[in-house]
Amino acid sequence: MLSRIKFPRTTGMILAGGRVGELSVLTLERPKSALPFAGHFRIIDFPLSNMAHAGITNVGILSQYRPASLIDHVGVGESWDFIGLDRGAKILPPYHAAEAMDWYRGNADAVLQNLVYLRELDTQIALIVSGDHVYSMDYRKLIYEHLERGADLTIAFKSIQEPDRRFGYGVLGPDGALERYEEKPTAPPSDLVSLTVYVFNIDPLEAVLSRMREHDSIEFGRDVIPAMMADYRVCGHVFDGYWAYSRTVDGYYDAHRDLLDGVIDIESWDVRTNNNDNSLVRQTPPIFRAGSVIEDSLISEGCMIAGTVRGSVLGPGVHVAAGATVEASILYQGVDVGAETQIRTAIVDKRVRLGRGVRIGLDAAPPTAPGDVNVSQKGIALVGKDAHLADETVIPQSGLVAPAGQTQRGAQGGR
Amino acid sequence: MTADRGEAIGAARSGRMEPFWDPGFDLRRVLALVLAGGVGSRLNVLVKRRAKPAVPFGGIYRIIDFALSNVMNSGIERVGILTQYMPYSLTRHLGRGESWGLSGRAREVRILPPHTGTRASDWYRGTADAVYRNLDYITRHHPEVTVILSGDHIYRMDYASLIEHHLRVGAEATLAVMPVPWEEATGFGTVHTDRDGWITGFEEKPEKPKSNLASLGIYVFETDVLLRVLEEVCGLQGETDFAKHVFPFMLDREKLSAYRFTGYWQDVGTLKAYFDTTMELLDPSSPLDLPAWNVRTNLVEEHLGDRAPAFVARGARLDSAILARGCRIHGTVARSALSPGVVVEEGAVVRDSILLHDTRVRAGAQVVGVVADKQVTIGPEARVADPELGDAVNESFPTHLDRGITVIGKGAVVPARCRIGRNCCIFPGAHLARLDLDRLPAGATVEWEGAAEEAGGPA
Repeated sequence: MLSRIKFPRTTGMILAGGRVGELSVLTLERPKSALPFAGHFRIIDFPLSNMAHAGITNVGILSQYRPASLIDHVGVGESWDFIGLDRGAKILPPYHAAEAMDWYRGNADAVLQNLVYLRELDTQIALIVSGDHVYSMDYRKLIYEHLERGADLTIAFKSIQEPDRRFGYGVLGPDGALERYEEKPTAPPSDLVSLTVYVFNIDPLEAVLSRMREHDSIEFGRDVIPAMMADYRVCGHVFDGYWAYSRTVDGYYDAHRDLLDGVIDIESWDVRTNNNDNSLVRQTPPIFRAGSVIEDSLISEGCMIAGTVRGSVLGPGVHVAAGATVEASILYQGVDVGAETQIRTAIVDKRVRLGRGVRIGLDAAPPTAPGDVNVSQKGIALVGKDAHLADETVIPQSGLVAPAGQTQRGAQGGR
Repeated sequence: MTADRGEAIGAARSGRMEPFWDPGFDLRRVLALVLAGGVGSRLNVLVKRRAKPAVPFGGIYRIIDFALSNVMNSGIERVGILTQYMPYSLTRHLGRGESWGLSGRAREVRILPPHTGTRASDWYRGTADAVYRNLDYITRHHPEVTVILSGDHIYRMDYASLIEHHLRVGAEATLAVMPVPWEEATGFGTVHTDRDGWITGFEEKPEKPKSNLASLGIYVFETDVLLRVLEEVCGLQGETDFAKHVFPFMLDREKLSAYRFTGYWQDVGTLKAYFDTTMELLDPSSPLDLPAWNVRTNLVEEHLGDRAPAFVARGARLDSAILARGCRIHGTVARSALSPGVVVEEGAVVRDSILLHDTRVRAGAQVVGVVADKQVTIGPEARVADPELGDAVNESFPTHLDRGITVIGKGAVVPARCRIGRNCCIFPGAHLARLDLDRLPAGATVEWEGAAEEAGGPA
């Protein structure tokens, strides 16, 4: 079925739908793949750019949780050159069918419900990737290796230092065949974690998914990979580049530190994003007033800085008044920091307005009540979208402020 | 009629203006023509390979963005751009007009270059001639009124107010004018008006001005009148300009009104004005307020939109600066505007300067009072606009470069430890090491041929 000399007809599928509780207030109103990153970029720009560079020009984006920001961001895919004959980027939300109306029941069910999309494009290979990771990968290499080995499914893995129970782990044979796979094991069988980057031949994918139609939910790690291993040739590809997991507050925060340290290099990776956003196109380059102090920081357009900013990433249109200090923090678009306000080790969502003398992340957190779970092991404070904090408000380390108009879910005692 | 007009203008002057509302008038049917063919030679090396409207300004903008954003913010939806000199950068920048919301079924930005078949010499000869050569384009759109603008200026004007004035007073043509200091009036075309605001005379760059109302190169015409007058004037002579030929011709025949503009308007046609206006961007009290103006530019061009936010490293110092995307600052930047991708390495100092795209200031270099075009390299420990090398005005361009500013053309390379004086001019692509130059006295000019290939990239 697949030619060895001609690049196979590959369709990209990005699993962009989910909201994870681990990201707390940041994902109450947006799917995790739509999280801003490095100022004006969003996490999904990484897989989208990887696809564009690999010449994969048809991309379906599987989205279910609050997809508005994603729909706006992806648009018609112009930024990634997905426009034209035989090209296209499509958001694929759940839809009403004649006999069934289903929300996606698991990430693999989202693909199952869109098999017709893959078939319509004469897909030979489906490249299914998570929309939540920060990395630059040459998918072409991966697909060539998949073809070389005559695999039906190739999964990208990466060796990690500290075991983390959230991942799926694989054991590879000398020929690259996947010999064992365990999802979220108590004792990892190897140091190779799955990056949720899958290269599937279309026929086996359809066969395996179709068998699971009646399941209550279908997940790639839990259901599809074991089923594929039982009946087909499954291989592993070991990726040795940078890869960051943005599904936890700490992982997301650390990736920004890597960004400031130049480990993530947006420009040499050639990450593309959509700038045709009304709130972006009207921004001027950032202006630094006399007396401002900036160090070790990324400052986006539209920023107006009169205070001090250190070790931080500021999104578009952030204003930092004179006398204010922002340290080791991530501020999203349109945050307004009042005079004498201090922010340390915090993530502040869009359009948050902070009055004068506000303190965020400086004071020790009150003792944890039994049953409470901190979203961050690092004590990162989170302030939700559109929140307005009055003068002199104090948000301690690990503090949590709900977005305006949202009740504070799972947050107690002001944390 | 005259009494009504006088009353309207009198009311306008006293601020008692009633809102003008003509339900039959639709701004979307207005056609704007932007004159973008000018060479702008007083911008020196900045216009060696690009037209004046395409000269970068304020980090990410080009000068023409201001006129186009005014068009957009005024609610006008159709624009023709008359280009001629070095149009490549401009054409690229305009694209299909999406950046200004001007692309769509009934919206457009149309580039109108000179074309053959009209006359012996097919180049545009003068501003009016350029419009005359495009009468087909105007009649195809049959707008009720046509607005003619210059693409050369930094300003914020609501053309809707201008057109409203034009319609209210019932003029055949209206010129936007602005009072300027008397001593500066000698550099403008000035207009004389009667007490009702009707134009009674013109003077082009008068030695002893009798009026300080400067024409801003912004005109509104009843389209029928424009077509008729251009046929009469441009049919007769070679070079035809609006200021020199068309308006003097119309003076006794048509009703010409002056619209007093009181907002911010600045011609950045000289290096000095370009420099000073850029510095105004850094002044919080200046009326040149980009954040409030809603100026748009083309971010897709040269993948500007994909660049990372500006990075300021540990140990860097900023004091009053504009940094565009992709800048990486390790040294000191004060009172300067840096375009996308400018790198200032450790220990380097950039002060009172304008550095355009991807210019690199290497470690320990000092750049003070410099305008550097795109992709210039200032070598390690080099000193540019070094006051110790004197104050002589530039030998080749004594009127452009007499205040100390040194200008460096696109892609030029200043080698390590090289010292360059004030008022110097370095041509695009000049590679000073190949000329064995390690010291350039104040006022010197370094010419260089064949720079285009060396510099590369769009201007």
